[in-house]
Amino acid sequence: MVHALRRAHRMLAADGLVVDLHPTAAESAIEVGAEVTGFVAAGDAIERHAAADSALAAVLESGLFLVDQVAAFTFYTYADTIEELREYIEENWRDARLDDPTVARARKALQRSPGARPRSRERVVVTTLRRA
Amino acid sequence: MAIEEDPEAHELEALRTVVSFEGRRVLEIGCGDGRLTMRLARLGRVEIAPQSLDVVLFAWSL
Repeated sequence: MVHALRRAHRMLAADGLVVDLHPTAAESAIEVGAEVTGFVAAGDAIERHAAADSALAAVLESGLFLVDQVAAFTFYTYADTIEELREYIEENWRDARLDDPTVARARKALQRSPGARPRSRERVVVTTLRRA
Repeated sequence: MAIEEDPEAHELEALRTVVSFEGRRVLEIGCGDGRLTMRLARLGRVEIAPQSLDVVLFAWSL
């Protein structure tokens, strides 16, 4: 990522911006309505996100960029059933899985809340960088 | 209805608070299936992946 950011520095217009968008190290939750039924087991995601933070820190330290703005938001992914959400996450997120207790708790929560849709919740941070 | 990502558009809203994309030349790296790029393109006069860049957007997914 440091290499990519260095290349971005060369490609950017003088007043251009780099926007870095990646999930925080917080675990991604599985929710039904306001109820958290468990968390996504996401392999080495925490280490990968920490590596992204380190890469940003490295290019800032190198003096190529300055932080312009930082913002955070919550990203939800909805499915019609918990089985569909599980399949989606396990197929599309790297090394991720939902354990059986999380799925079982979600099924029970859905029985208590007809019409609710299960969802995953990720916290994402956006950082904009300007050329120094 | 099946899978629905960010129907509240929190991502786009957050991006718009920190960057004005109108008329900018944007390259998205790590864009997966291009979901975010497509959303940006719908904002209006946004040129995706031109020769010189106003915005380079790194989207690292989980």
